[in-house]
Amino acid sequence: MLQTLSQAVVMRDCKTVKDLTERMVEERVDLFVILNQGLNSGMLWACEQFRRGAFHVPELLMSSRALKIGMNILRPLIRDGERNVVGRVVIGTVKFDLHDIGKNLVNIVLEGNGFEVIDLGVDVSPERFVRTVEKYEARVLAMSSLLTSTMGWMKSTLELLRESGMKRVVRTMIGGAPVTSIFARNIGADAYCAEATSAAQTVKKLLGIEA
Amino acid sequence: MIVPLLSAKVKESSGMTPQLRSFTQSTGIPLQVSDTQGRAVWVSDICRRKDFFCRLSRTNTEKDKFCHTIHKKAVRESIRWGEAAIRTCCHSLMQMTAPIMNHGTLVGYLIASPFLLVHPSELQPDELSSLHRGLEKKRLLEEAILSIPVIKDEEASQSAKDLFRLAEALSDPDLSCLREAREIQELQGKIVEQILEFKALGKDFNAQSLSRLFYEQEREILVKIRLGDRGGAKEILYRLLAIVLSQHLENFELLKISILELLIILTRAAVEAGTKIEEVLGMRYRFITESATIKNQEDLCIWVAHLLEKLMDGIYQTRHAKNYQRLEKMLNFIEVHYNESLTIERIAREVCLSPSRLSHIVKDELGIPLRACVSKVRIDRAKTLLREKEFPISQIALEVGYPDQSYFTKVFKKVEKCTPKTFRVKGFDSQLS
Repeated sequence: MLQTLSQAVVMRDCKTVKDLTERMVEERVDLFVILNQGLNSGMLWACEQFRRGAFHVPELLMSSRALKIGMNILRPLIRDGERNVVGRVVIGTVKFDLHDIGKNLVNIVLEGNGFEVIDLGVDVSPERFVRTVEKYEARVLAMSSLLTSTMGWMKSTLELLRESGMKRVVRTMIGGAPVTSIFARNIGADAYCAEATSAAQTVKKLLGIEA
Repeated sequence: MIVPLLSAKVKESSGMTPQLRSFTQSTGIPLQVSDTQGRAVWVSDICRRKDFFCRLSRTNTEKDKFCHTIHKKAVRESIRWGEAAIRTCCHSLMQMTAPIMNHGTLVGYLIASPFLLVHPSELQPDELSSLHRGLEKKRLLEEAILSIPVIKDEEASQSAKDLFRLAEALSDPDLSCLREAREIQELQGKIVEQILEFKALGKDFNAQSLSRLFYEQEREILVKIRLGDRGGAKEILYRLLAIVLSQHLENFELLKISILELLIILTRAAVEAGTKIEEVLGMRYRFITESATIKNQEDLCIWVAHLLEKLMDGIYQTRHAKNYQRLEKMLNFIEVHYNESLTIERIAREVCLSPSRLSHIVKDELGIPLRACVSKVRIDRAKTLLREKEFPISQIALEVGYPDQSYFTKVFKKVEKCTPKTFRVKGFDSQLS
């Protein structure tokens, strides 16, 4: 059933996504299993199709919509189960970058693990990142970039964070297709998140919370 | 001044108005030609009822301005990617945009909007509330939403291509200035693909392994350039650029120095392959002078990619044209028949030369013996099979034209400095040690 759900996300079959997610919830399948092995895995596959040129923007948008429909069913249930907020995370895609699918997946995974997520969306300037971290006293700043040309803004944001004196109080995590652990180390980010599904573990490790 | 210019262009090109109309007729999406300020220069009349929703929502100038801001952003993206941009508007309706340029300057844009990718009856509550946001007259709105054209996602991609072609026809001289933007983005896409391959190595991916891979790939690209294998050389260049970017993306000056080193390697190989030394020195000189004006990594990467093309052209020009045609035929023949018994006699027959004459030409033009050429193609194929398939080594040996497994292992070890088994276990990393 999980595989069919995953396939339905790829095929942009919103009705099947809705029906299957509801059925699995009724059958008490673990919510994170539905999320990771069903919805997320389908979305990652759709992204891969896009990267290979088999999907174009409209197909990807429709897969993303199917994922959202499934998530709308899971989100309130996940929130119900995790009432204690373990930490506040500010998340966004860096300046001049309009990609948000990976970031949205991280968002879902973090929320699902009890984090309060302040999502700034896409095309976020360093100033806005720093201002928001300060305003909400966030413990973690997570940045995403899907383009080699926009990765430099991660470095600029960290520099601004350092200048404002916030770098000492907030932990930073970066991720995205072209982002590597080497880049994270070179620019002084505290952590590199290899994939959306490991985001919660990475943040917990950063904050010294037992995963 | 621009409005009359653009308007004249639409009217002047006799075939233009029917073409614009034909777009709306075939897609059902309302189309508008706007100037850079968002003022309509031409509006499709046949589909006016379908933009009922937009007319209803744009009841004041503030909202009109907001729409224009969104359109401007979409046009900027379209210029950046060198293709039509498909995005959602403030009401979550779909729109596609393409720029109209005059000698590299934006003079207007085409906007095809609104449309939906799903039927209104399938819209989710959050999507419907986004459509209703800030709008009154609910009953009229329901009607307006139902009038929005619905097109399938696959058809939307095709319509976006058609829209870009229309924008090209309205541009002066055309949209060739955006072709480089598309080329840059395509190259960056290839580089990211390589980075993803490195990342798949997991813990084996680190600065040391990258340096080792760089030297290994450096050797490979020299062989490809010498062979005149344009496609193969390009593939390795993407990998080399991915390594350099992974190492120094955050430091532009270091990145520039690394690219300069890469340039020296490429030009040296071209000289060995027969390009005139004066041409190569000219290219190096140009890089040093031009590199001062290059301000970002995308331009640096595309510069090197273009340089490789020029180097390959130079190699083809200097090589004896007749010999080159025969070599190309020979390489194609080996690529197709690598898994069969390939004697020098058989290959020579294929290119209508005597075996000794062919051996001489290969040695002179490519700098390696014919046997090494065949081995190279077979071992490259074997490497792919080892990475991607779980066949036993004996089967892989057979698949690439070596009936004797121990002989295959011997040749593999000679070329790759490790056995096929080690290569499979360590994957990519076996090339590094």
